[in-house]
Amino acid sequence: MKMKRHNVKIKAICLLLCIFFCTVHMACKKLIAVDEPINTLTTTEIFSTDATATASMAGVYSTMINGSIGGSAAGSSGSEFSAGVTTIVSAQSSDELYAYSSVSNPSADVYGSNHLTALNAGYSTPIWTSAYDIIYKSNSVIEGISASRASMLHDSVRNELTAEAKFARAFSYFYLTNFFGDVPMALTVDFNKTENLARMPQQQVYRQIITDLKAAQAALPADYSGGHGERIIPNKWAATLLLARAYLYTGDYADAATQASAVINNSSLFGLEPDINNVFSTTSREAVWQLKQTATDGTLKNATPEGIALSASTTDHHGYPNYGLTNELLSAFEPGDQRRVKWVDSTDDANQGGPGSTPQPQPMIYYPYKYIISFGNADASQPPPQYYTVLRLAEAYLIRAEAEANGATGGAAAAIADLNIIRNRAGLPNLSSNLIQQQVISAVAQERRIEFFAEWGHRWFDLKRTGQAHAALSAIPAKQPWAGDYQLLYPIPQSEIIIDHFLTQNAGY
Amino acid sequence: MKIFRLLLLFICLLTNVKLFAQQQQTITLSLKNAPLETVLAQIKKQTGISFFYNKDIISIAGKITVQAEKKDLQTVLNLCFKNTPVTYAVVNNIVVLVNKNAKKNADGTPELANDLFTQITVHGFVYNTQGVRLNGANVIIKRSHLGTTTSANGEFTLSGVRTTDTLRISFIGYDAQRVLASDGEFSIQLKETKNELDAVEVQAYGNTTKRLAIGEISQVNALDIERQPISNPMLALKGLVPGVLITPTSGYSNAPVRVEIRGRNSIDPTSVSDPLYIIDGVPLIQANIGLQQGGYQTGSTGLQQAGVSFSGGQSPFAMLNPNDIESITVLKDAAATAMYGSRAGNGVIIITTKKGKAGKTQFEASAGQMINRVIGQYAMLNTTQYLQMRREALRNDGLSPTVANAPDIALWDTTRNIDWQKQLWKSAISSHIQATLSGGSELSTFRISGSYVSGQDVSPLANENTNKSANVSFNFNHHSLNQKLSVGFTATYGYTAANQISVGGASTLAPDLPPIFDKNGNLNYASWNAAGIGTSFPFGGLLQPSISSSDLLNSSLNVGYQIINGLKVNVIMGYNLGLNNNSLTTTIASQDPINNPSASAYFGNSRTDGWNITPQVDYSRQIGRGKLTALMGANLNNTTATGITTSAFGYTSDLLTKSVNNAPLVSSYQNYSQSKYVDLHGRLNYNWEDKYIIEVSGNRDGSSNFGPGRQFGNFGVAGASWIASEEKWLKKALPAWVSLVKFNASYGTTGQYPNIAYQYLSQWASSTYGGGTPFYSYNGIVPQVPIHAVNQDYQWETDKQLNIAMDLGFLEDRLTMHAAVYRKRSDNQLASLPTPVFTGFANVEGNSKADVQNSGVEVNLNARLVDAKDFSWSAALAFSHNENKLLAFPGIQYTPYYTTLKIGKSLNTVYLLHYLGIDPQTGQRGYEDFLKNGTISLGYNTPPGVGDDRGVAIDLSPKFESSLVNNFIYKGFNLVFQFSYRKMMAISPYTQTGGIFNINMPLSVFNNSWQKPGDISPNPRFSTSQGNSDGYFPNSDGAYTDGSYLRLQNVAFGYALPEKMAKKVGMQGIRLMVSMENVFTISKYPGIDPELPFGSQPQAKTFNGQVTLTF
Repeated sequence: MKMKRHNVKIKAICLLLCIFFCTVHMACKKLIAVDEPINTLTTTEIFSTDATATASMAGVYSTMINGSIGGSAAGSSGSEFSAGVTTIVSAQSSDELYAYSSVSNPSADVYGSNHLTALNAGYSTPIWTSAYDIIYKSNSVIEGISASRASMLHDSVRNELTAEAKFARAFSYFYLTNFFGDVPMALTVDFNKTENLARMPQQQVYRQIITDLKAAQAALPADYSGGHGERIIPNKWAATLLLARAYLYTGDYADAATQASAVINNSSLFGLEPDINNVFSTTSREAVWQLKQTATDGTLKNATPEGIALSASTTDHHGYPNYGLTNELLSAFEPGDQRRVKWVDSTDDANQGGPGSTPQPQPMIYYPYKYIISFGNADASQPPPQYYTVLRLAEAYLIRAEAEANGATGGAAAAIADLNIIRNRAGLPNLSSNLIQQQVISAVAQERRIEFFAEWGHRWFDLKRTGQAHAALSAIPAKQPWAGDYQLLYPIPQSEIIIDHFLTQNAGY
Repeated sequence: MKIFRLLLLFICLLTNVKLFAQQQQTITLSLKNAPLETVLAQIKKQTGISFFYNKDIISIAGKITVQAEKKDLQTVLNLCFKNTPVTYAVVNNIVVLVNKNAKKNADGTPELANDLFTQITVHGFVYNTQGVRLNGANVIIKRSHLGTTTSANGEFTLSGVRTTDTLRISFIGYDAQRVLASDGEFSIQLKETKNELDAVEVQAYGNTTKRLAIGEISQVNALDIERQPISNPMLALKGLVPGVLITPTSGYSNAPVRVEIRGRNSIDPTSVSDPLYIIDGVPLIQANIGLQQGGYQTGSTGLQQAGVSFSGGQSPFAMLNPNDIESITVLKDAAATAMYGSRAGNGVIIITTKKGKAGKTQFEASAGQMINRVIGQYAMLNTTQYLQMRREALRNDGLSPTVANAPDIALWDTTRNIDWQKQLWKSAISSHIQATLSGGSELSTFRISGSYVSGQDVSPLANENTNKSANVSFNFNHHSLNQKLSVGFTATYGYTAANQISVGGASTLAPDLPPIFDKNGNLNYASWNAAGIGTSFPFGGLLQPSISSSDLLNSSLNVGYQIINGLKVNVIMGYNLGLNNNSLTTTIASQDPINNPSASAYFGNSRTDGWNITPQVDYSRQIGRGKLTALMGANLNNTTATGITTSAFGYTSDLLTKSVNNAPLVSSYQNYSQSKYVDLHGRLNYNWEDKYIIEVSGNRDGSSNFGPGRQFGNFGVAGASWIASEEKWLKKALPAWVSLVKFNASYGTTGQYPNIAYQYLSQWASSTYGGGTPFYSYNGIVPQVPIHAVNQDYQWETDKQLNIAMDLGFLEDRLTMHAAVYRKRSDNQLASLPTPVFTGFANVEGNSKADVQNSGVEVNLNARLVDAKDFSWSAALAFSHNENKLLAFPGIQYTPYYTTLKIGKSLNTVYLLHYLGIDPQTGQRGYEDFLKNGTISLGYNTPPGVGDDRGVAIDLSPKFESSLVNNFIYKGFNLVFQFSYRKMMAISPYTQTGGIFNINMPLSVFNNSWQKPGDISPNPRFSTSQGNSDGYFPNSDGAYTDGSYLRLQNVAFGYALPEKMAKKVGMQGIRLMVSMENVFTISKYPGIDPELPFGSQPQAKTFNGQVTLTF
């Protein structure tokens, strides 16, 4: 009898236990549900309101000028294609700058001498990494917005941010393809789809750039409301100008001229600054898109990345800068050119101590002085006098001039007229109106060389796309012996080729 | 070979010892015409042997006359029944008397009619020596191997027992007892065993013994912990547990201790090797979210999850008082750990704190002092020799000394001769006191203890590198009167405060450097600035203090109820909380005044907390001739960790640096992680007559650290044990001195889950992952950026483990040996996988294709060599060897590991140039041109030996480890010493080039350096700078040497005053102990400490003296 009761008891207990553990098990999924992290936001959260979504795009711009390692501003350290590196390396690879340190150690100057190898091309990785970083962040914004069903993320904001992200993506691919040629096209954040990408022909890269820019152009506002009047958020005109550049680079002169005209014709927003000292200022009417530094930035302070990288290390022309302007460039200026007067400075005092310190006389070195705030006089407590100008109106004139010289509506005469606008502003006389087409094309190249010297790689890219690179560079004494035209493309970072075996190295490396 | 020699020595020692032979019981009888009953009663009285007979035997036997003196039983019985028709048979220690004329069995023995044996029901209680009733003791009938277990109050009832039966009563941890069933009513007291094979050993969710365990379990008990003068109980395992590698990560006493069980599993250098730690049933939180993230080499940062620290974090174990620990148990293989499933891939360590014991309330207090000093110093050059070297170097380089290139010659006082090691490695003293109160009754016991330690690590400054720690621990246990309900509560709280500074390579400083401080007591930057090298001033760190204080609370409540016999439910509820506050200050005083510096500081605040609930059901029952034990439980575990690091800049005075409030520039970031873990675990064990044991266990667990759909995994193991020596046929075949032969085998899986939370979730933040500086705002908006790659698909890592072991016992288990061979394979392992950066990030958390194998041998020998009344000597020898191998790695050529790992080699292998020695003509170092292409190249982007000349491979994992502990007890004296031996390769103590400014060299190198062409010497010419040939040297096999060592790891000598003396002064006991850690090292290694690199502060030698009083 007792045993029986026992058995019943055991059965009951077993049943209860079964029920208990089954419940536990079924509840497991709920039991291991955790709250979302408090120090971060999920993609869903980011794209649930206008403000947080806007912050995601602010992340793209902040990365562009400040770098991806939060706070360690690129400028002088040189880790972002969008914060000085493009200018520094391509000005050396072409014929604009030389590294001052190479005077004593020529073999160290692999860019200036065009003696790159897969192992010594130290800037390949930062250019590659920083451009793809911006692309990934842009893709994150595009995909995040398109996946978001949040009603608090309004359509106007969705459209505008998506357009901005497409602009940023196109901008990054433009530089990538101009440095490396064919490049992998990552258009999603899903690493499963991108980890084994092969390189995409440059033509297709441009096709994607143009597609993105057209979409951006259509959706971006036509004013500067995004930056509260400051030209620090790309708008319709920034997209238009970059689109004009993409057309020009791909030889579509008619479209290039049309897009350039659209910018030029908007005189209510844009106009050439009569005084070239004001071209890069925060209030410049010539600026189409500028990147704004954060005054509290511990490294940049109120300087620009190029100001820090290129100007003399202290104010008042003391302390040698890292780079000097080449004789080739200095002799290309016509006499009386205001750009030679105002955008070039020099020093012969290597003492970093600055004014009042004992001078250390050295040979005279000339350096770009487009940006007037340098490492030595940067001041976090002062507002920046200049923003880091990425796109400006002068380019629209020169794009149109080149397009016209190459057969776009207006022809050589219109081209000369456009060139003269730029020349006159620099205090130079008009060109002869009798120039034949080839001369006009050369005149455009010369004007671009002077107007955009040490600015965003214009000279390097121009030489390459117009097929002039070999002729212009192979005979320069500093580049002897000429290693070969394969150096016109930089080597793909070796570490990337190791990881992605579909990736091939550029020929010659 | 060495190990076999040691084994031989052991056996020799054993056989030389005289054994106390089992005394045969003798009987002395002198009776005349006595009735049979009287005779039998006398024999029973003298021998304890019982007799069984039918009443009519008495009359058949008649009166008996017998004379015997010290005769054995058989002789006496033969004498008794010589002239009677009575004969006898011995059945299970019982003598049965029968009529000679009765029926006989086929074999001639008298047939024992069944009705002879009255079937009775026996009933009784089982206690231990303290009167505590033993719940679940086995009561087995020897004849039939059937039986029962005691109920909650130690009671048993067993029916169907023959009066002639013997019952065997056993309980884990106690010596088994045999009793005759005839009495019917019992009160049995079991004694705690002295046999190590039967001692209680902690296992996953329960207890076992060495004799019955299937899994690989090694336990270090209180005695072995207490005798070592250590601040971190994990260090007590060093050498004692084969297969466990214990490495202190730095000389600071609160520093994390790296623990690795059975080799390195992960290819990922950021993956820590720490096992799962469980303190009193509560898993310890091992978060790794801080600024200083732990890695394979540095271990976890422990309680510190934010800020910056010299000691690499705060070890949570340094917060425990070693004297509060009852045992530290290491679970190594799948059979031992599968119940912890996915958390057990690196093994499990269970820490059990001391519990109160029933009996008189006892108060114990102890106090002591420790002295720390470095184990040795290098013989470096004095100023004359140093300057000679420097001048020769300058001459070799064609330079003449100037203030700029040689301030040590041209500027500073060359008559100074300072031994910087003496200046910077000063001995330190610490004091410790502690008190314990414990006691209780049969139903309730308690233990309260407190301790306080105040002291110092080796340090140049009197008030720095100090440590203070305080600890309180409390334990309370209660049973209900019917013993069915049990409640236990344990809480441990620890606090430490460490004040540290960091000083680099003291031994290499030039002997004529100017004084550290100037006349005004400020750092002597001026002397260095005079040479224009203020930035090289080496002593700034002296005034950059790092202060860290931590709290750790660990508490658990265990409630159990026995529903019916053999069926228990219990719930363990645990909570732990770790806090840490730290700061690292770069004071103005520590910086060069000519730079007009301002002070800056890092502040870190971290909190880790976790709760844990484990409901369980335990069922055990005698089924047939075996005992079935089943356990089923669930575990729910929640942990959160958060850390905030604040950087403060621009302090204009050092007085302001204590608080972040006074800083003009502040930036701050937070790290956070929350994880939930749930499992359902079970174990089924069937033990057939202590002869065959099979066990299956496993669990299904889920973790929130995985993405949706990937959260659950299954793990399990099957194992079997065969105690061959219990087989009758083998028992006969084996010599009598073999007391145990046991074989074990198990195969199963455990796993690993990612220790970083939320990796499956796409996350955005305003600073980079892991807490970089925040991104600057843009357009007035604080930016948000994606911070890591997202992989929703990563899954449980599986470690497949095979373990085969053998146990041998000799001479009634006085010498025991346990030997295990194992193989462990970790594949599909969780790692940070490299991806091309155009995917967004350089790596993603995922499952790597690498398959890593660890295989090895572990041997333990334990011997009670002498076990006399006043003198005993026991010894334990441990030996282990592990081989690590990257078994396979498909696609390794598409990963960065291609340049650091090779298939078939150990993960800890370094690839090196082959060093050819010194060119007698130039005095330069030379290397082999492995690729035979005319140049020496050392590349890090190519596989070793393929794209460069690194043709030599050296595995830095220890080849084997061994330790020998000897324990002598003579009356009140106790001497224990432990030797450790490790065979390994190490980095040579000195790999630099002699002659560089402010780098001193050992005298032995100086005396053997190249000076002129034609010199054949082992060391290169002096030079003021490192050429390529010198720069390659650390990457060549010339920089590695045999680092094997034999070390007297510790010695402890204790003396307990005779009880009488203690009682005279009103105490129960007085004990004195002196102990020493790192006593001496014998090694061919040319430096001081093969475990630490040259120039860094060697490990400390610790002396400890203490007095313990018991009231």
